[in-house]
Amino acid sequence: MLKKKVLVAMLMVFSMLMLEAQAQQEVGQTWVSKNEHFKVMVESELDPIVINQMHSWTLQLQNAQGQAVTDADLSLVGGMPAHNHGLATAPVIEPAGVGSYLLQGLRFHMMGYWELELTIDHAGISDIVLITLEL
Amino acid sequence: MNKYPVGFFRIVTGTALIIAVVAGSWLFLAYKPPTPWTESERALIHSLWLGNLPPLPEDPGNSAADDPQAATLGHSLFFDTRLSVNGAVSCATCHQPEKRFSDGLEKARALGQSRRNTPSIVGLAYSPWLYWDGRRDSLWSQALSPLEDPKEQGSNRMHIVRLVIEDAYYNNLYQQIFGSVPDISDRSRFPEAAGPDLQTDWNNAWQQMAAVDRELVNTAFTNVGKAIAAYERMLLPSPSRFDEYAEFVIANSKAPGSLFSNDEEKGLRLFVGKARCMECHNGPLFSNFEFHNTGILSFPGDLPDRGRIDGIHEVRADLFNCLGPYSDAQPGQCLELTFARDGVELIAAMKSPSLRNLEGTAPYMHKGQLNTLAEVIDHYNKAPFAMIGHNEAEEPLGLLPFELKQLEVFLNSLAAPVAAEAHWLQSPDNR
Repeated sequence: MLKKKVLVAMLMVFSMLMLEAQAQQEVGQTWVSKNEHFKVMVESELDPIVINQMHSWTLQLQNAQGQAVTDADLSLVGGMPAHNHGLATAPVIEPAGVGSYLLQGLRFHMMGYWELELTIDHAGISDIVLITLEL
Repeated sequence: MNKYPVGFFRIVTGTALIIAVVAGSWLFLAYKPPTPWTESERALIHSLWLGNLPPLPEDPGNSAADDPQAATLGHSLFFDTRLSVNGAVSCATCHQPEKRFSDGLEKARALGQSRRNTPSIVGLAYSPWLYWDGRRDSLWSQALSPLEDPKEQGSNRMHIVRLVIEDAYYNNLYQQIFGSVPDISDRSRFPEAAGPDLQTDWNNAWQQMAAVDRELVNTAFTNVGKAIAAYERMLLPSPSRFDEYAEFVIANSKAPGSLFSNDEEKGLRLFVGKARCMECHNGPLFSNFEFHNTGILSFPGDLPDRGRIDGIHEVRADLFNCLGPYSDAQPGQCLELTFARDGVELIAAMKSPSLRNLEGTAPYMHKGQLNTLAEVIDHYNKAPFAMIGHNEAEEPLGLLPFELKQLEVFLNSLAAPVAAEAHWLQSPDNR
């Protein structure tokens, strides 16, 4: 009886871990802003992303209701918190169609944990998306 | 009667025991056999393996970059002392093939002494930036700069263009590569010596030339740089003992003991791990070709070097950069220059050099401040405060003396000759 309980508990823990892993994988493609005003789908020209190679990303921007957001002002800063330094480049984001934006000029120059802060301004609402990468 | 005080033998025995334990642990740590590589370590070793080197990146600014004729012309120009004002200095004066295209001096010495150490050229075709501070963005624009630098070759572009046109061998090659040579026979339009921002008479002569004639000379001068760059693109590293060892590790088979000593293996483990070398010295060329402030002291008697913070402004203002009128690139191809960063992190930041060119290139660092590899490794282990700006390596590594030695032994395993046929590594005698 006790064995059965332990087994059930172990299965529950295992399935929770699996669910969490799946959720993290999804977040790898779509990122939600801090105050949940926006969602951004990120697609990299390089897949997987490797260091020392200049490349671009395509961003699809949506509001909380899932509608495409077209005329937003987007800017990006980033760096490696563990090393207290920023990006090796100064990327630029330009509109590229309905709800779509092109982020050009990304080059990561070190392996490790990177954080990118995407600031979104649209119709008087400002929010930040934190994108994290392990290279 | 015992002549020793009570407890004497106990102290002696205790001390001996402590010494034995410390020495034993030390010997154990230093000499214990290396452990097998983990999956993540193998991935890192794979990323450093020369077999992983991507194809030579294109140089969109130089349409002659991969033209064999241009490499032949560039080869001759590289060794030609007639390009200098006194007929005694060539590119090879400082970039000596037998020293991996460096010179073994603290700071470069040609007509005068330069302000920095001569970097090796081997593998630089992979670097988006040239010079320690990245003040040029291509091999060809870099090659032009020493020709007119009063401390290097001290010449002027008018003299150099005339030399190429009047030398039958150069003239013939030039026409095959670039079409036709400009007609500069009219001495009233094209003086003997002229060039901008040089000594007063050369500068005056340049300013008096018609704009269209100056463009003609600039184009031909640029082509000289493009030919030299085509030659320099051929100077690449060949596989080292490390690469041979890495091949075995990547294939997951045990490398023969004869390939790497215990110390070399441990040095490599430190390199990919706690010594944190790979933060900057990554990829198959052991460099990210980026700019870092590493807190290195300035050369005795010199003010701290501002490095990249000045280099970025200079490259943006360079007439011969990727976006300039003498570049063959479309603006959309100049990604590095377009998206180059500014900011305080660039203060005193210098470009990480490749570690495949360590052999015979001491002294090291941007002004040759450190004489040996051991001193360089010790510098990173200590991570001193930067004189200006901020040392990116925020804290000392805390490596033990035998670990520093192991790192050094490993770095020496990267030595390998330049991967070019012998005739490219000496002065051509076909002129």
